[in-house]
Amino acid sequence: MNQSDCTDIPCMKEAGIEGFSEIKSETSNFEFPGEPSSWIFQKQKGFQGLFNWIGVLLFVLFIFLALFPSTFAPYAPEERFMPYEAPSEEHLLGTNDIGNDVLSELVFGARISMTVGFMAALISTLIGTSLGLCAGYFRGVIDELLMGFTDVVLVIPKIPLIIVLGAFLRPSIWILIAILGLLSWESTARVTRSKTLQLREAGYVKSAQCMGFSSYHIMKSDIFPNIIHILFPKFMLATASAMISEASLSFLGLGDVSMKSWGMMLSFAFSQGGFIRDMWWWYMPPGICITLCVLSIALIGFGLEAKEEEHFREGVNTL
Amino acid sequence: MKAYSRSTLLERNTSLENTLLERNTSLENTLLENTLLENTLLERNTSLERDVLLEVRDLEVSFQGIETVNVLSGISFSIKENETLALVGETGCGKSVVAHAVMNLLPPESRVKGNIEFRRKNLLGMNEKEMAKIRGKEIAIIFQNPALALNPVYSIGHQLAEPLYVHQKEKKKTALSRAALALKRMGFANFAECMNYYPSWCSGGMNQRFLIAASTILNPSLLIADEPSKGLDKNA
Repeated sequence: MNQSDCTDIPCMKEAGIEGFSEIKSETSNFEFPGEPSSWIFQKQKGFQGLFNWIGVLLFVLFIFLALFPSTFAPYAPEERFMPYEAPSEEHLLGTNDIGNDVLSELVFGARISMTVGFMAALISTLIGTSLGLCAGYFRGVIDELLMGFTDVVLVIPKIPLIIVLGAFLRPSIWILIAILGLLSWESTARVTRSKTLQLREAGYVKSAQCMGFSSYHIMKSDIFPNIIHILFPKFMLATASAMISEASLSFLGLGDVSMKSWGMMLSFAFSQGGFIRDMWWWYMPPGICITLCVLSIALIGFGLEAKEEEHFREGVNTL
Repeated sequence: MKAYSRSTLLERNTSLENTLLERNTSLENTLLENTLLENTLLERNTSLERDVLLEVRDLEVSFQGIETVNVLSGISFSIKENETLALVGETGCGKSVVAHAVMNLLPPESRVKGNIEFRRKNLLGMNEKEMAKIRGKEIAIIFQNPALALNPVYSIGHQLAEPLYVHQKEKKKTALSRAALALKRMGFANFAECMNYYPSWCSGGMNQRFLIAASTILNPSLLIADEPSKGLDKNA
C-alpha cells in the first residue's frame, strides 16, 4: 500500500510522527514490530543464522553464475582445446574428452540446472497451492475428489515414469521440467489444504465472507497471504529436490545432450572414461557444484522454516 | 514541534474512544443488537409503518454431532427500516447463532429450519454466490472479537478500502480517502496515520472501531452488531 496516498503532513505532525526514532528510545515499554512483509530478511541468531547466511551467500553466487555466465567463464562452452588436459593456469579445471574447458562448461551449466530446479518447483508449487486452497476452502465433495487425486499422484513412482517417458519422447529439459513439476506437488497440496482448513474458520475469513467477497477473492487475498510463509520453504526444498532429480536423470542419460547441465557433465565424464582414468577435474567440480547448490537452497529453506515456526508462535499482540 | 511519545498517543486514542458512541448515532439506525432469546423480550422503538427489512419466522437451529443439540427454537421477529432491535440474553443462549443464521454463516453440521426473509427474499435457500451479493452491501455484521476479525497481513487502510474496490469499483484514491473519512467518523484524530497501522499494533478498542468502520463503509441497510461496543468506553 502506498503510504503517501493517505498520509498528509499536518496529520503526521499532529500525530508526532516526525522524530519517530528518538521517541522510540524514550519509551521502552512500547515497540512497533516490523512490517510483516520484511520477516524473510530478518537476521537469525546462533548456528542456524550462520548456516542460513552461508546458504544465502552460496545461493547468490550460483544465481550470478546462472545469470551472467559469460563474465565468469574464461572461454565459450563450445570452444575446443587439447582434450584430457590436467588443470593448468590456462585451463583452471582442465579440459574434457572433446577439449572443452571444464570451468566454462561448469559456469554455463549452472543456468540449465537451476532453470530445471526453479521451473519444476514453480509448477509444483502453483499446482499444489491452488489445489490445496480449493480443497481446503470448499471442503466436501471437491475436497474428497482433489485429495483422492493427490493420493493417486502420490503413488506414481517418479523416476521410473520419467525413464519410461524418456524412452518414448525426445529428451529435452522442458519435458523434464513438466514431468518433475507435475509429479511433485502432492506434499505442497496437502500442507496448503491443512492450513487452509484451519484458516477458513478464522475470524478475518468469516468477516471477508460477510463483506460479500467471492470465494476466489477470499482465497487469493485473505487466505493466500497468510500461508505464503509456509510456501516459501516448500518452494525452496522443492527446487533442491528437482535439481537432484535432474542431475540423477541426466546421469542416467535421459537428459538433453544439447543442454549441458551439471548432471549431463557427470554423465559424460562417466561414459567417456573420466572416472576410470581418474580425471578428478572432470567429474569432481560438477558434483561439488550440485551438492553446494542444493545445500545452499536447503539451508535457505530450513532457515525459512525456522522463521515460519517463530511466526506461528507469536500470537496476536493484545495490548 | 513538540514530539508526542507513543504512549501519549495511545492515551489520546483511548480518550477519543470516549467520544465514539456520541458520534456514531447514525450508525444505530438499523442496529439489531445482540440479545435475548429465551425469555423473548422484544422491544420495538418505532411504530411507524415502513417496509419490513428482515423477517425471521420460527427459526430453529440444531447442531448435529454425536448427538443432536437443539440450540434455538421458535425465534420470530421482524425489523423494519430505520428500526433498532436488541436481543438481550445470558451468555450461550444463542444470540450470536441468530446473527450467524441471518448471515448464512453457520457451519455445515448445523441444521436450520424456519424462514429468514430479507426484503421478501428467502436467505436460507440461497447459495454462496447469491449470498455474496447481499452480504456487505445489504447486510453487514460487526463481529465480537476484533483482533481475530481483522486480517493480520494487511494495513487497516487496505482492509477498509477493499470492499470499495470490490463492490463499487472505486479508484484507489477515492477508496482510500473514503476509508480515511470512515476512520475520522470513528473518532480517530490521527486517522491518516491509522491507515497504515496493522491490527496487531493496535489496542482492542482501536481494532473494534476499525471493524465498525469496515462493516459500515458500504452503508448496509441492515447492520447486525454482535456486541459492537466491546472494548469501548461506555460513559461517552
